[in-house]
Formats: sequence, C-alpha cells, structure tokens
Amino acid sequence: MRKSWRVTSIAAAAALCLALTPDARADGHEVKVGVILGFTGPIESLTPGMADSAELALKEASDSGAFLGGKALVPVRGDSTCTDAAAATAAAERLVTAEGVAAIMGADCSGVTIAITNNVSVPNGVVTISPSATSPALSTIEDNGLFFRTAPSDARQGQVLADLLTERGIDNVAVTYTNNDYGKGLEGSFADAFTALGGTVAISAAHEDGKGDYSAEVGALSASGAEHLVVFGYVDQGGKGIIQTAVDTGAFENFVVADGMIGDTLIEAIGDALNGTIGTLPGSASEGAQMFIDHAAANGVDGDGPFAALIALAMQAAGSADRGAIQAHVMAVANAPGEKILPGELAKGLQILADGGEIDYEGASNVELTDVGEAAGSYKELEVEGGAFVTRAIR
Amino acid sequence: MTDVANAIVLLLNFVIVPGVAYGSQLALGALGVTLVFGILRFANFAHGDVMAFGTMVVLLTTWWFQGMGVGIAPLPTALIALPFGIAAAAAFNLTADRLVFRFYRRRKSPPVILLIASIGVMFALQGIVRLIIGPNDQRLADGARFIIKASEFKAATGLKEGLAIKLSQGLTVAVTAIAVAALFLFLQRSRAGKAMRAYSDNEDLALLSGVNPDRVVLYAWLIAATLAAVAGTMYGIDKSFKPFTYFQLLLPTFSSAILGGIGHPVGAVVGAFIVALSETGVTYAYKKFLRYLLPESWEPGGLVQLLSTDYKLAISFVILVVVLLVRPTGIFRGRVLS
Amino acid sequence: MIRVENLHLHFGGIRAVDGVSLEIEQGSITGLIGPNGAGKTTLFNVIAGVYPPSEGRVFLQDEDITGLGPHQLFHRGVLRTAHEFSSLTVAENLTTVPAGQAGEELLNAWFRRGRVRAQEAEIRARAADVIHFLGLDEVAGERAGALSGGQKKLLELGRTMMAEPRIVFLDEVGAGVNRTLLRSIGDAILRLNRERGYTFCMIEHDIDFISRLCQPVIVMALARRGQVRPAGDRLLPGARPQTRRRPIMSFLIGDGMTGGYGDADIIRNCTIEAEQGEIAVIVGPNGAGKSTAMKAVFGMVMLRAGAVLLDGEDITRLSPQERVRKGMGFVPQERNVFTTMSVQENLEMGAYIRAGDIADPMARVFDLFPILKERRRQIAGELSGGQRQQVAIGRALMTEPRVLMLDEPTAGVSPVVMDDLFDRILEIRATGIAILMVEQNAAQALSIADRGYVLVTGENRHTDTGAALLADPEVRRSFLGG
Repeated sequence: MRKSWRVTSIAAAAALCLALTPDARADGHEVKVGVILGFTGPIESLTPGMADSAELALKEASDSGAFLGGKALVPVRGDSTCTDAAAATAAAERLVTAEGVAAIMGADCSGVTIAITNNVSVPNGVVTISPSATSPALSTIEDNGLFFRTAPSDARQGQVLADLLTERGIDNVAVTYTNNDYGKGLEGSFADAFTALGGTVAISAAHEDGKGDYSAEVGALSASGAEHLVVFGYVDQGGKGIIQTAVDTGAFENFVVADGMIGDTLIEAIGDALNGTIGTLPGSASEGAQMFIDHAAANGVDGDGPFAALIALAMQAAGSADRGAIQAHVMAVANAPGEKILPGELAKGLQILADGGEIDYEGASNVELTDVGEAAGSYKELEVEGGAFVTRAIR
Repeated sequence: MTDVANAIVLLLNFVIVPGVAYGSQLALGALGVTLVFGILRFANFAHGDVMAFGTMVVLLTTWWFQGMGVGIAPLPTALIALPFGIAAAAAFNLTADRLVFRFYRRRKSPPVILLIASIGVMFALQGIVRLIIGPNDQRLADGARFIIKASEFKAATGLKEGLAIKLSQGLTVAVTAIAVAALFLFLQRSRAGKAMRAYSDNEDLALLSGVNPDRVVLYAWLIAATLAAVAGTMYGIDKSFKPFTYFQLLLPTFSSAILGGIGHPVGAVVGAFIVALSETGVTYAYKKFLRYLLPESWEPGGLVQLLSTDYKLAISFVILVVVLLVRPTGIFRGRVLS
Repeated sequence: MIRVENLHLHFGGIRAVDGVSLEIEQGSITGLIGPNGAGKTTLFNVIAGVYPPSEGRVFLQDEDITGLGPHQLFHRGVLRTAHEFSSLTVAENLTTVPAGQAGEELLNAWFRRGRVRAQEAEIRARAADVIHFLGLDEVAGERAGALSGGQKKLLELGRTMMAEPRIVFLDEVGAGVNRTLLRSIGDAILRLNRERGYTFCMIEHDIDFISRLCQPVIVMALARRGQVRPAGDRLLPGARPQTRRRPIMSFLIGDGMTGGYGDADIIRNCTIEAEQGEIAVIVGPNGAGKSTAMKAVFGMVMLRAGAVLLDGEDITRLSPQERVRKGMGFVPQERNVFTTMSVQENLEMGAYIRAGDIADPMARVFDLFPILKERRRQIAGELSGGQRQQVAIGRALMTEPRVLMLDEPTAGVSPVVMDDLFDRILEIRATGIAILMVEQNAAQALSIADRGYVLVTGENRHTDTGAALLADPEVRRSFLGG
C-alpha cells in the first residue's frame, strides 16, 4: 500500500517536472529529465516500479505529439543509493552538468534528497521534485524555492496521528522509531503534537534496522508502563521485529503505526495479534486514484502504478524550458484555479495549456502544494480488522 | 507477594530467558574460538562467518526439505537440515586450513600473522555467503513457536506479567547443553580428546608423547565447524539469519572466550553466559520491576536503565577491554592473547 | 616489615600451606628452608598475591595486604622474582620494569616528549648501572631467551633491582647455577642489602649459600605428613653389583656431532655415548652446550656433521617423534608436564603411542614414585617442583623406552629431593635402560655416573668414568668448585 502511494507520488512529481521544463534545452528535439532514485541500496526493490511509472508518464507526453509542439521527453536515470549522500550528490551533479537535464525528479529518501537540494539543486538553479521524501526538515530547507515534493511532510502525519490517538482516548504511549531522518522526523513531530494535546510519551527510543534480536529494546519500552506502542519504522525491517518481539513476550497488545509500517507482510508475520492496530497512510479515496490504477493496468506497468496522462498535461503547461522559470509554474499547474486534471487525462491537459488555458493537476492523490512547495496531503486512518487494513476515515 | 512474583516473572521474561538463550548461542561460538586458539594458537576471526556459512547451508537445505514437504513439526525443519550445515562448515574449515592456515603453520609464523590471515579468510567467506544467499534477512524458524505463551501464562497464574518461552529458546538451551556435554566428555574421556588437551597445554611435550599434530589440528577444525554450524543455526532459529549479524556476533563471542580465559573450554561457557546476561541485564529498564517491589512513593521517575539499548554491542566491547587490562588471562587463567 | 599470621592455603583436599606464621624484619635477609613439598614456593606465591589464602592474613608494615594482586603489591614495593621476557634483549628486559613510566601514557608521549625522553634516559642509565653491577655487560644486547641458565638468574635479579623495591622475594635464585656464579649472586645480594637497604626473603636449597647470606633462617616443616629420606644412604657406584661389560659398540651413540639452532654451531665434533644399564652424565660450565648436545642426540638440533646411532641403526634423519617410537624417552628441563592435566592423564599421554593396555607400565611408574599414585587425580600444575619432576620422568617411562634422557632433572629441587631423584634414577638403571642426563650438580651426578662427559664451549674436554672424573684434579679444580 505504501508502495502504491509512492508510485502515485512519483508520477505526480514527474508530471510537475514536465510542467515546468518545456524548452529547458529546447535547441533540439529532446528535453532531458533526470530521474534520481535509489536503484541500489535499502529500497532497491521499490525503485524499479517508481522509475517505470515516472518514465511511463514522460512517454505518454511525448507520444501525444502535443508536448511543446511535438518534442520528446527523455528520462536520464541516476542512482541516489538512498543512504550515501556523496554518491547521490555526484549522480545529480552528473545529470545537471553532463546531461543538461531541465529538472530532476527525485530523490527518494530524505537524507540524500536534502544533500542533493543543498549541493546541486540550489547552486545550479535546477528544480528538484521528490515523490517520497517526507522529512519535516525539507519544509524549512533553504532551497530558494527550487525544492518541491508531492509527498506530505511527516510533520503533518505526526499531527494526524496525535489527533487520532487523542480522539480515541489514548494519552500515554511508548514510541520507538527507526534511527534515520524519517524515523527521527516523524517521532519529533508526533511527540510535539501529542504532548501539546495533553498526551504523555512515556519513553521514546530509537531502534536500529537489521538486527536479529529486539528483546532488549522491547524490554525497555515495556518498562515504561505504557500500554500502547507507537512504531515509526519499516515493515520489512526493525519495525516488524519490534512488534513481533512485543507480541511474543506479551509486552504490548496495542500498536499504533505510521505509513512505513503499513503493508501486508506485517499482517502475514504477526497474524491475529495485530487486530486492533491503528495507523495512518497518506492517500485519499479520490476519483483520481481509481483512474490512475485503471490507466496503469492498461499500460502494462505494475498494477498500482501508471498515470502517464497526468504527465503529458503538466508538460504542456510550462511552455518554457528555462530552468529559472520553473518555480512559478509548479504552483500554477498543481493548484487551483483551472480545470481539474485526473489520471488518464493527459492529452486533454496538454491541449488546454497549449490553448492558453489553466489547469489544476489533481493526479491520483489530490495533489495540492502548500506555500513551501509540498503536498498538503490527506491521510487514511486505518485499522486492522480480521487480518486486513481497513480504512476508517480520511483526514 | 503477587508483586514479588510479578517482578520475578518480569525479570525472567525480559532478562533471564532471552539472556540464557543468547548465552547458549554465544557459548557454542566461544567454545569454537577457544578450541581453535588452544590448538592452533591464533584468534580465528573467520569463526563468525563460518557460523553464517553453516547456517546458510542449513537454510538452503531447510527450503529444500520444505519444498519436498519433509518436516518434523512441531520442531523446526532446520534441525534435520543441521547435519548438512555442519558438513559444509567442516568442509570450509578444512579447505581454508589447507589453502591458507597450513602454509603459515608450517612456516611457524607468529600468531599475529595467522590472525591476520584469518581476517582475510573472513572477508572471502563474507563474499561467498553474500554471493550465494545475499545480504538480506531470512527466516529459518518454522513449526511451533512457543513452549509457554505469555497470555496463557497470565491466564494460568493470574499474574499481571506474562512469561513467554519460545520453542527456539528452549531448543537452543537443550541443544547447547547436549553439545557442551558431548564436547566435555570427548575432551575428558576420549584418547583423541586428551591428546587435544595435551597439545593445547604443551605442544612440544605432546609431540614428544607421539601426538600427531595434523590429526589434532584436523579435530580442532572439525569440532569448531560443528560448534559454529550449531551455534549459527540455533541463533538463526531463535532470531533470524542475516550474514552481517553473524559477523557482529564475533565481538561478544571473543569477549566470552577471553573473559573465561582463552583456550579454556569451561571458561568459554561461563564467559558466554556472563556476557549475554550483562547485555540483557545492563540494557534493561528496571522501572516496572522496581515499581512492583518498592512502595508507591518510591516509584522511580526515570526508566532506571543503566545503558540505552543502542549500546548493547558496546557492553561486550567494554568487557573485552576491561578483561584485557585487568586480568588478561581471564577468569579461569587461560592464555594471554598475543 | 612483613608479618604473616596463621596462613592456610588449600588446593581441593591438599593443604599446600597449613597454618604458617612468620615475620620478616626490615633490612634482614631472611632465609626459608625446608623439605620439598613443605609449601615454601606456595607460601611465597600467597604473600606475593598470586593466590589468595584460604585463611589467615598478611601485613606489610601494619597494612593488611591479604589478597592484593601482584601488580598492587608491586606498587607497594613488594617484588617476587619473575621470569624474563625471552624475546626482549637483556637491556630491554631491564628498561621495561619500572612502573609509572611517563611514556606509557600516550598523552605524555605526545605532549611532554622532553620529560619522557629525560625519564627514559635516566632509566637507561640505571639499566646500564645494573648490567654493570651484575657483570652482564657482554650480553646486554642478546635476547634473554638465548642466555644460559645462570645468566638468566642474574637477569632476574637485575629486573628486581630496576624496580627499586622495599622487599624482594627470591625463589631459588641459585638453582641451576654453578658455584662461581652463585658466589657473585650472593655478593650482589649482600651489597644490595647493606648499601641500598633492600630487605630480602629467599627460598634456597643450597645450605652453604643460605648460611653465608641469611640471618635469620626459618625452617618450614612439611605441610602434610611425608617421609624424608636421610641424605646419607645414597647408593654409590661402588655399592652396586659389578655386572658391567665393555660392549664393542655402545647402544646409543651421538658421534662427532656439530650443529646448533641457527647459523652458529653450539656444539663442535661432540661425541656422547650411552650403554644399556648405565648412566651417562654430561657436565660442564654454563653455556658449554650440555643441553644442546643432548638435544642433538634426540633430534632437536640441526646437525651439520656427525651421526646418531641407536642399537646400531642410523637415526640421524629421524624426527624426535620418530625417535620416541624407536624407544627413546626424553624429559625436557622446563615445561615437562601437562600442567592442566591430572597426574594420571599425564602418564596416559606418555603412553599415547602404545596401543592397548597401559596398566602395567603405569603400575611400574607408581611403584617407582608412590606419591604419584596417591596424587593421581591432582592437576600436575599444583604439584611441588620435585613431584612435578617425578611426573615428568614417569611420563617418559610410560612408553617403556630403551633410552631415557633427562635434561637437568634436579634443577630447582631441594637436596633431599635431589638425592631421592638420584636414587630413583639408579632404580631405573637397574631395569636395564640406558640413561643419559645433563646435570648442574656435577659432583653428585658424577658420583652415580658410569660415564661422564665434561663439555667446554661445545667440545669434549674430558671423558671417563664418573669416578675417574671425580678423582681428576683438573676436573675438580675447574668444574667442581675445588
């Protein structure tokens, strides 16, 4: 589920890139767009799908013939590695200087995204649009308005989660988070929001991913006396290990999880003991989401993925390939006013823009950018019931 | 009274049971290290990865058995795959000895050269394991999961705290007890075992007594491989199999062996339990435990945790450094690691 | 200065030290004598903190130091002589002793190089002084492992001096040292005591040495009831039946052996023979290559020339292990038992190459050394020096060898035990075994020897029967201390 959301965001990000970059290097017939994702590293299993859906969007735009009077968009891949800031910076540097890309779609993980924004994007004036970096730190980064993301900041998720718990009358929790920018950011925003609402964080402890044994961590968490365990981690990593150990030792029976923990493998591993677990996941029940899924299936991309139509629409909106002109256009195509563009309506969007009209790109996840250039984001409130995540409400 | 029972159960559940299971796994590893040191007189850094290698073969065999529908439920299938892992680890150790260690042994190289050679073997083996099975986490356990479930324990005793004992934990302790008993019987009673002890005690005199050094070295490698494969498999069943974790086990393993007195088998076992229980005991937060025992007004404000769990690995490092500084021969007066 | 009150130490059921009380006066040289097994060395170890006592207390000038470890005592100026670091040179051995060297702390080594250098210079100067004091100038640059037994003893004393201690415990500093050297060690101890105010407490077997140096002398009784043989009933060569016949060729011959461990030859054209039912003894001054000659016969030395024959068979190319199988038993001077194994296991290991029942040879060893039967379950490392020597000989006898080679079997044992060991060696000879031994106590050894070899600088100097050598005035003057 997390994956589908990521892919949606990717497509949206790609679409936004294109919206801003027409004619970026317009001398030839091609416009190059950088795609920097962690093709190797801890999320390497997710990236091929993300890249495919981004590239599908670019292809749709090119094929429509309406893009900047018939130009083609060419994706150029770079490897962010997800963890190695130096490698990611070098990859971005290469795309900008050697390949001359008009804009960069990426990166994926928060840490390397911050590095690319600081070291490449800002010095070169290249717009970067991340589909999945959610660290609150990126909201306040000194980016000269060049950084955008179609994923919401975790500050928002922390707030949503805190609201949710308070509404359910839970006021004392133990928190454990994966020891990286994602986990720390989410933990910080959640703790602030929860405390402000009158709740108590009895213990907040980091866990390292990839350990064989989490009994010591769970022991410490349970010693706090809290009855609810909030886990900010990864479903295939330490987060699952923590919940497994907590269930095994009887330390906790009630769990609260954030987006990184929501996945079917968690339910497979833990089983019935997970019933009653609540969580939040970015996303909405929008009309766009279903259209996106249908469209992706039609184009043979991983069932969750394609919304190539959106990309084409966004490209046309830009009209100029100048790197410097990008910022203003991002906001314009993403937000109202204008005709709403849903997945699969790429050609329509391109045409409206070519005709000088306005659009409001909605995509699969109701993309709206806040004034710092990130998705405001809506979240699903989920609860595990009978061995499956069930959506309770949209926030 | 119930409070005391609750406190004891709490400590058992979070410190003693996991500590004893972990200690058993360490003991098997430390015995292998100490035995190789006693006979070959160098610290074998490849031992952790021999554990990974043996466990990998067990894992592959387990998958094969599972594919054929062969199993011994409720016990984990890995147990019947264990002989394959032992054979593979033994084959590896003997190959490494033939290709690397024998060369330096014949040249009578100082222990430090052999130690560094073993680091080379370690890196090579890490590559082999990652090439075959990759660096990721794999699950080794199947079959029943618990001997005592926390919820059942609570229901049965009426206590507030639950006690869970996983099948893998019980199995680990049982297998370790059998392996250690068999090893000690071998060393104390059998002719070959006595020859190994004699060789470890005084190599020159053992040679004068007609002990065949090649045979003793062969036994040492075979036993070390067996212990490594068993230790790795038990760790994998209890937790999970990930090559890097096995490499990390090297530090607590050496701490155990050196704390007990390297070259001293009883010391290795005692050292392993001290290290394991220190790791679980020092990183446990005693707040809830104390709350059961102390009057309400004395309830501790903090977590009463000596060290954050992040520093778990550092504990074995501290033990290692302190032992080397204060009593380099270890508890049972083994040799000094050179 | 040191007061010991009612000290007990038990190893399992064995009472190694059983209620000892004594006092060591400041400025004295206190001698500690007693039969072997009386627990003298163990008492030293308890006072020096190697073992914590089972009962009783130890005071250093009214400070209770019971149970303190050796390094804590070191800092209080209590020192027990320890073995040298064999891989360091003599000079390095001395400079590593003083505690609290500034260079040991890395910070100092970086930031106060001047101070470190000054201190190191001072230590070096002191080491040079000590080397000169002990007459070790010529070997200052040698590795300690390459020194002869007597020079090692001096180095031991030198290491003690470097620490500038308040009280020094000397454990048989004279063992395995020839007369001349013993005298110079004694002089050094006396000078240290008078000129520098050192207090000494020493265990010694040599009564002359003790009576020259020590005031007072404390006599320790056996910790456990044991039997002490009177020294007088030693069997002399003349007392044994004359069954001797001159063979055409000796049973064991090391013929014209030349060789050593590295490039330098330690023995040159050296010939050693031993006959079944006879004792052959190699004597000579320190560094004469006595041990090397015997090791050459056993195949532990690279031979550049010469041959070794056993019962007419050329075994020059065989390894020591193969020679064991041919019927040679060897008892090394040091590290000659498995210290972590029981007495019985030690003997079992001796018979390792024998297939089948070992009850017979073990029974014979127990007949020869009854104490071993009594202690067969005890760990060999806990035995006294003399008992350990018995285990070592017993181990070698388990293969039922035709030749028994002993490298200084009496080094470090008391005169009583030495006499006892010689008696046992005579008993072993009576079984028809050829015995070849190296001995420091030349006079006693030659008195039981059928043949004697006097080696000097790796060459045969005198060869004759033991009695003849004892009677030779030149041998007496040069090697037997007059």
